[in-house]
Amino acid sequence: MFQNILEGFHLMLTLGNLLAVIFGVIFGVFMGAIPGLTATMGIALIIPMTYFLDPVTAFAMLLGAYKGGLFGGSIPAILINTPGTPAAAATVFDGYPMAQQGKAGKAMGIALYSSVIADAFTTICLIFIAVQLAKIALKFGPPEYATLIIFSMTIVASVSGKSLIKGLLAATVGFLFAIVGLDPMLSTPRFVFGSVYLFDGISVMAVMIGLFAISEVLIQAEQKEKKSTTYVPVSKGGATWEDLKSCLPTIARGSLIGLAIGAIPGIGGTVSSFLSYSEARRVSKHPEKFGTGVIQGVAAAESGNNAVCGGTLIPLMALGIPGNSTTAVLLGAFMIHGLSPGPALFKEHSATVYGIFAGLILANIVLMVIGSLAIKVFSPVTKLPKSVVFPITAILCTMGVYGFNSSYFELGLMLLFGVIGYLMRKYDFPLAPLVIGFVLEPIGERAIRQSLILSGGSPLIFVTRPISAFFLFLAVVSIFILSSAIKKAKSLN
Amino acid sequence: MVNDEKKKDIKIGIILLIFSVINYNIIIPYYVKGRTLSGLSPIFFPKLATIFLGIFSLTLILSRWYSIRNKKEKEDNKGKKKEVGIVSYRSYRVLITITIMSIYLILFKQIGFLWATPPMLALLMFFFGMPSFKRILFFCITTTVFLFFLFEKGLKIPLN
Repeated sequence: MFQNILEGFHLMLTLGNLLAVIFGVIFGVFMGAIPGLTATMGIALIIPMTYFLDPVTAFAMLLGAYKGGLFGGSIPAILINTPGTPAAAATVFDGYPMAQQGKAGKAMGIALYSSVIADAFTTICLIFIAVQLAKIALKFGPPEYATLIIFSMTIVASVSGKSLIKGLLAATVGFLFAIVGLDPMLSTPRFVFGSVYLFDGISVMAVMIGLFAISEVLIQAEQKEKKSTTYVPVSKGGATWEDLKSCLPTIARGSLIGLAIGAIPGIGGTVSSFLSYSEARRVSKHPEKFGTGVIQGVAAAESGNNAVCGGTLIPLMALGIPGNSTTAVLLGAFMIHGLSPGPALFKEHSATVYGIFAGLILANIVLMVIGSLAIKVFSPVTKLPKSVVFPITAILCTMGVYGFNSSYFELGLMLLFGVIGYLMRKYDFPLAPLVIGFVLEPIGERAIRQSLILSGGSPLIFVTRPISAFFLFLAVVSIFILSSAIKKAKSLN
Repeated sequence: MVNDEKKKDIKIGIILLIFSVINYNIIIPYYVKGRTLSGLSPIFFPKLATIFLGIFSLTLILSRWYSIRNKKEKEDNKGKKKEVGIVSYRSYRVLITITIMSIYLILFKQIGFLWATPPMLALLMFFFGMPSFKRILFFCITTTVFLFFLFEKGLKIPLN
């Protein structure tokens, strides 16, 4: 194994490969930092550039873009309350309040450290235990997915803020929005009102950007220019060793959650970052401070989000199963380069595989350097007056949503969700549960209905399978812990 | 003030409750195809979510109503009047922003990004309180040109 890793590094450490990684990471950070543009789009865009490169160089560039894109999403989330990618939605909760308190540099710094550490951890797991983890992930059938989603729904209680009932209402509304489109099993239209544009459902990008960014533009529009933020140069206000030390347990938890969620195909970074955030809040001594600019909140969301990178590569490389849209694009890239991911890949192309692993480690180191530079480049945004930032944000969001699917209809949806987000914020309804309901519903509904088909309609299938029963047990325990915590908080008040 | 917020919650709760009743009885039967109510029907989850919406709305209404009944707080009428004034001024500004953005989205489709963006960006910047005409001009031109080259030339996304 170590011999293979050394050979991989020997193959990777050339000037050409290093330049490819640097280009990939820069491009990925740039794509992630523009709301609406994702790592998946970035990878798809640079695949044609890799046609004539050897596989190791090509994947060094592509995986660099993947990692850069995951981190890049946190930059607008922290600076302008706009998640650059859907997976960065949870970063908004504490990242943006930190930026408003003049701690944008610190928030972005900890986002970078969390991303790199979590990513490094999952890369090591990918190298050493990919095959074993992939075998466990293969045991996930519809009942396991269904109960995992049921367990994940307990996140709603953690991110509901002051009122649990308002959080539950928001999550239910998110559920209803996610139902719009063709039925996942029978393809019959639901709530499409005769519009073919709604057949594909409501775009997650329109929902995220509308709810967070456009609603923020509307909130800021309420009053004319006033100096609302305090700019602290990154050199003075960046993340310190003490900050990182205080976040290490949170990053460790986020890394494990991201690894597990990433290894299970079809769940994705958004769920992982919300789960990680919820867990960090649950174990915190001051859960009530989450959402007001807590550094652990940023660390939890970003570690959960970035750990998914290594996690999703596990089923892809070990079994040839793409876990999300990004790895589906990467699967195409593997095929273009004459490689077939799966158990045979490790035997037939061992040198290339370990070269790619070395590329992943190299990309991590490069991300640390490029990310630090990106923080310095983007930090001055907080110094700009709001009469510049928010109009440009509105235009940027429009372009991002349009660029995602080239659909004018989705621009209208973005504005609609902006108004919904604005009204929710005015009436003290939390936005996060709506996003969670919206993201989890399609996976959950499909899994529950598939499970019931498998069992001939018997719900016992959810308790007779060990992994499924385990998640149900976790869900019950979580509800019990959360309800006792709520009771305790009420009695203290 | 606290009671005001609770009354607002009750109003929202009533709106959502009415919506859930309309959704269950009118929208779902017309716009969701599926005959039987079982775990495998396309109608099951819309109905389940609507039932939960109704239950949670009712819980919100009852909990706030119960809370108001138990904690009767005196309102400061002067403060209340002032708040109404601020809200209406703010709402007016928000409505204008929504109108500008709606016009922009229509123009974006009709005349394309390059022609629609500079005037709308200028209007938004002016509305947000940018005093300097030169700075408005600078940001409008640089932003439009940068985004045009990024999307149209760099990412090959046609902007009409």
